[in-house]
Amino acid sequence: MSLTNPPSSGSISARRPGQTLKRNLQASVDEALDSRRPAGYTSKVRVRDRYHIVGFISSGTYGRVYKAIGKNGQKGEFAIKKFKPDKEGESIQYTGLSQSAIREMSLCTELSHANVIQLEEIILEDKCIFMVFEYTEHDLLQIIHHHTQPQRHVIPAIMVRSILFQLLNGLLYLHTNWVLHRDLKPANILVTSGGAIRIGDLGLARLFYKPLNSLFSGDKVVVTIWYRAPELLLGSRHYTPAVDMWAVGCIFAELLSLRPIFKGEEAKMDSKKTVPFQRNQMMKIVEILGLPRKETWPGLVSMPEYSQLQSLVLHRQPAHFHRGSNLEGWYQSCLKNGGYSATSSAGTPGTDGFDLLSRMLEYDPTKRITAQEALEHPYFTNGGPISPNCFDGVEGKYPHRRVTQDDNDIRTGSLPGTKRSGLPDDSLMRASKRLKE
Amino acid sequence: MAANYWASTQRQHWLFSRETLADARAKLQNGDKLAHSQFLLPDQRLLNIYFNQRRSPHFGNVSKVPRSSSMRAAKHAHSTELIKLGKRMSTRQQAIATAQVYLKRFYTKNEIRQTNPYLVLTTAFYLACKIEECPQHIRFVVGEARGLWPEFITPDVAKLGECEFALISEMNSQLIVHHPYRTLSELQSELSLSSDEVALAWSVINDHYLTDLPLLHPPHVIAIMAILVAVVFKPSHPGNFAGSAQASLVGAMREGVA
Repeated sequence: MSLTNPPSSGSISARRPGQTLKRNLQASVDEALDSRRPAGYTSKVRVRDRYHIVGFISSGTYGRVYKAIGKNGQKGEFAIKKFKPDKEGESIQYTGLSQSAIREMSLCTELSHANVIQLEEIILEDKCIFMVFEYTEHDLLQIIHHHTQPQRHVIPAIMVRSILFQLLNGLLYLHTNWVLHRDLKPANILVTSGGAIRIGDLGLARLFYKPLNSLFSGDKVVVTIWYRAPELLLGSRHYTPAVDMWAVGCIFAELLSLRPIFKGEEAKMDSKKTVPFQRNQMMKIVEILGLPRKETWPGLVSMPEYSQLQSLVLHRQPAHFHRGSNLEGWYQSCLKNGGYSATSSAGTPGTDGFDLLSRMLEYDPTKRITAQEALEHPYFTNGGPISPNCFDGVEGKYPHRRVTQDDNDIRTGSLPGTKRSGLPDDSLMRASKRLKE
Repeated sequence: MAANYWASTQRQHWLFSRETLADARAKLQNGDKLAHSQFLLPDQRLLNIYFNQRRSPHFGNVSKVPRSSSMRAAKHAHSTELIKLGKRMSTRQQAIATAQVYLKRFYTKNEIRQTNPYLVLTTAFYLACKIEECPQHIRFVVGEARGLWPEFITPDVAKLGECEFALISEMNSQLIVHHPYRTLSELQSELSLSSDEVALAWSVINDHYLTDLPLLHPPHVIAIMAILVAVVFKPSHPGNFAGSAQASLVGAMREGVA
């Protein structure tokens, strides 16, 4: 049963018209805190006593993220993720925490790694959950965006290499701890002002050690469409850490080309909540990688959507369908258009970079490179040392994260979100999406 | 770390010695002497019967029940009540085990006489189902719990939602529990255990959740002990106890148990 918060473009507008949205920032946090009840649960720690909210960062299906600074001896900057009750103006009721919140809280509490977002504390106060994280000044989406403005200028190869290494290092940690992230995308890869990569947003992450139910039955749809692995698109019931590696491949490609490599359009779920075949997304992949073949991917024929894939072939037969992979052509023109070369200031990811990319974007999940193998790939072992600061040796500064002063500055972006499944009691039927500039 | 017991919050924060556990409970008792003198809780065996018959209206009025101040008793009773709820909803054992651990953790920090134990156990069950990835709808859980304990569970799901906050907060959001089942299945082939032996060890593990053991020992130690118990007391070979080596082991174990 999958009741999701579809990231439709209607998003934020689910609020009632005429409702005043201009609200003081602190008030939006305080609002929840002020609903006094005579008895029952009260938090021992109060958000207001510990943090001063300085601005609004973003919102998503889960709730909102605010920037805060510590108070009363608590030093530093923080990002506070406030889950749910955001039906403004209505009286808030306890409805049971969402599966997504429970996962993120429990996993972040256990995990600790230099390349995974650091949780400071969790405060449960007045029907809201406040997850307090370290503050990160940047994220990959923002960095990629910066490189397209005012005109395209590529991310230096040395920086891409550091980003990718740190990302894989964090992912290896997650995978060795039986955690699948399931929503890797540039917006969820955070970067500190010191150039450290932190894998963020574990709201879709879960343990995959001998699950009581199949992964599919828990969440019918995982991973934002552009980063979704082919086995997921083909309806695989069981999947593995390889889904995260596909997403890393897509992110690698995007860091080099500054555009999503497979920018498909998402087919919406119908009213019966059946998961549609993502024809358009599959097409985008096929256009670059060629059709998957059972000779090289033996498991292909047992995929639930295999027949859909075949119908794709029957209905349209453009020439590229029957060519092999054209990833190398894509890669070479990407380097050429971007001005990556051994003699340019940007440097070049070279042929090692292509080899690594092609192993991440391998159709067969059992053959796809693992995080461990990727870290030992010549792309990393050849060439100079890799800095733990991805900005090392890079000129120019990146703009700081946009922090707005009130809540109503929410616009609908153009990025697809990830559907979060859960039970009816946790789905805030409000559709909203991550907003990025 | 989620897969690594050694780095887990379970090992860091929820592993007690018998002394620290006793201290924690003594502290709760000293913190609320009045309630302790007014509301006596019976010992485990009697309380189990009491709970199973579900005659008496409330925990608070158990003065009729023979006197004993065993705090643990209440939790054991919870466990059986919890199993009832789990059975009723045909829940996987691992989720029930997680809920049992939550209850034990919660009552190391909270005085049972100040809580509605039925609400707490229902909430522990609801939360454990989510963490073990076999979620149940909150209304369904409340409905089933009301079927079992209509006097103690209100139809208002918000009550359970509120109790969930308290439960998570008291456990510091440390919700991932490592269970002995995993060690058991990992050692199954290594020790060439028969399916009977595995089944017996499995039920020994199930039973250990009725005791304080999950708070006192790491899960792999429990698993090894359960395997040992299963192999030594294997019901299918009662004659084996006559054998020399095994007999002495059995003797030693029985002494240990006694």
